[in-house]
Amino acid sequence: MAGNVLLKVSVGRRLFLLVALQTAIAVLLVATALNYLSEIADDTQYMYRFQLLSVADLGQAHRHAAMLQTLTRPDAAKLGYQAPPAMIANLVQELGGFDHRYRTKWQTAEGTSSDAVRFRGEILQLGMSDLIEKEKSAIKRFEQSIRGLREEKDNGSIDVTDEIRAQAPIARYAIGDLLDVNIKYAEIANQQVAKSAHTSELVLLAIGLAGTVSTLLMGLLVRRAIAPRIRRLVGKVHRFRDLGVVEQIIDTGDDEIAILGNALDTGFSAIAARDRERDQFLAVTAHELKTPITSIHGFASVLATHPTDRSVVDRAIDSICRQSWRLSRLIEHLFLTMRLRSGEFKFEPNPFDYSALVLRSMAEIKPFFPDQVFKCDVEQSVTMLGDDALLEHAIWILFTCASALSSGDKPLDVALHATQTEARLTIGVQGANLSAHDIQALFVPFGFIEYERQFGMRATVGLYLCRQILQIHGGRLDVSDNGGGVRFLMVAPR
Amino acid sequence: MIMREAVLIIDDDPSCRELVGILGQIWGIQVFEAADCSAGLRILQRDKDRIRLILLDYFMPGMQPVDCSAALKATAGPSIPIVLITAAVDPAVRAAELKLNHWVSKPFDMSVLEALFKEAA
Repeated sequence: MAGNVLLKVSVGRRLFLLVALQTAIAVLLVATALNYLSEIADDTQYMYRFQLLSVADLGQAHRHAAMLQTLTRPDAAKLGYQAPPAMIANLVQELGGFDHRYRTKWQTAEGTSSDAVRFRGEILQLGMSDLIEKEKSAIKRFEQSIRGLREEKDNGSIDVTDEIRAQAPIARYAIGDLLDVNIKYAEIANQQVAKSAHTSELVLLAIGLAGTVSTLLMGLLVRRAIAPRIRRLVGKVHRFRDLGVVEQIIDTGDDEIAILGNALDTGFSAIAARDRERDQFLAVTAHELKTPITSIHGFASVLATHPTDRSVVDRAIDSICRQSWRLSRLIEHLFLTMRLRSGEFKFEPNPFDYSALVLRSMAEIKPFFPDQVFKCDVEQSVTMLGDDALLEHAIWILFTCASALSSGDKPLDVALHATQTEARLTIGVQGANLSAHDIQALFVPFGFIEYERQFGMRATVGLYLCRQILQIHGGRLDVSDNGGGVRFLMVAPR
Repeated sequence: MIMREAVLIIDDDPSCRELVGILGQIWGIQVFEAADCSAGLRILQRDKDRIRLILLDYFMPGMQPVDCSAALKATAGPSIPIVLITAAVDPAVRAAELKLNHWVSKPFDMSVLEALFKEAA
């Protein structure tokens, strides 16, 4: 089905679609990969900003709280620890600063930063709200202790009192709890980032696989739509080469392959038609050659068996001479036709008497058509520059063709007239007729004509060679049917 | 009994007609010559009783070959055989087209023609 649809699409477009699909998949893969890289970079930044820095600050705060607790122990003096009020106040101030930073930057439970809101959502989605409650409780305890510590402050110093001794451990334990909670947060965040990276891998893998499979399928469809048709074409070409049989190439597509198929069809048909024309030409040529050979062979046999019978010897020799001339003319015709087809036609112009050439040619052709009357109106001493041998052959072809067209009971009107620039030889065949198709057929290379008109059936070689000879001279050959007969006009420049 | 001593050759090639005429002269058989079918039919109608064999060419001016053959057969009747004598490359096909059983391909050997002339006697 898809293959049939593809038949309607050109080969170039099919390949374009294939490449476009591959490009789209590549673009999608790159875009997806870039997106995931960006997300991973964001996650890394988030881990550093929201998880790692908070744990580090908590560690620092825990150290301060532990120092405060140690310095404010009742037995601190005995242990050799000195607790100046300014140092105690400084530690309380550090813890206060940490409290502010934690609430504004790292608190998950009630934080308003984008990181806090996002992470809180993830925690709730995982069903770990107890962690948030634990953080809230620790923050509450820490803030209460900080407030208690700050109340003891006096002019930038804090003396160690019982209240200080009571609040310091509370602050330290609260920070310890916050540290535990945040470490747990970091573990969860790390798992989330790892999970996201794994998802990215899976998505990229899925896109890559889907792209590969669809490209493969598309390629198979294109192949199915092209390869069998190419194989069919090749098969037909091989059969034509091996058997010479023209099998019509039926390709329902309208793409380049169908165009190629049609071109092959046309080419094969033309070759086959040319072969048929050549076969027909050879058949007619064989017929034309066999006619004089029949006389030559027959009269030679008569001479061989009756060499002393004077009543037949002279006629036999005369006939052999005439038919030998006709045979040589036919062979010359074949030779010239072959040379013309192979592009080795020689043109050797020289000045000559065209009138004499026409009269001589007519005299040579007359014995072959003894019942044919020739009406002659030839202007004398028409000279011209040309290849007289070629023109003589052209005139012989023309007379032969005109005689074949003639019914024999009406004269052939032969006329030669010249102007300053050209010589016009006309042969009129009264009573003959030729359709436009017949006239066209006269000029087909290797063509022949087989007339089946009211004149019966005649066969002769066509006028292709005659016209080519005229064209080499810069002249032309026209054949026309004026209704009352056929007129051959041979115009040659002087 | 009718003595058929003549042969009719219908061929537009004068040289071929002349050859057959000379051969007839050598073998002592009269040869009537016609350049086309119409002339041949006239001779046949005139000398039907004397003609023992008709030699008919295929490519000729005048009537169509098929019409010519039919007219000759109708005029000659079954007693005078008609033999196609042609230089065509497919004489058997041409003979079948003209509904003729015998044909001679040009160029022919004298002995073939002599046998034909004598068989038809």
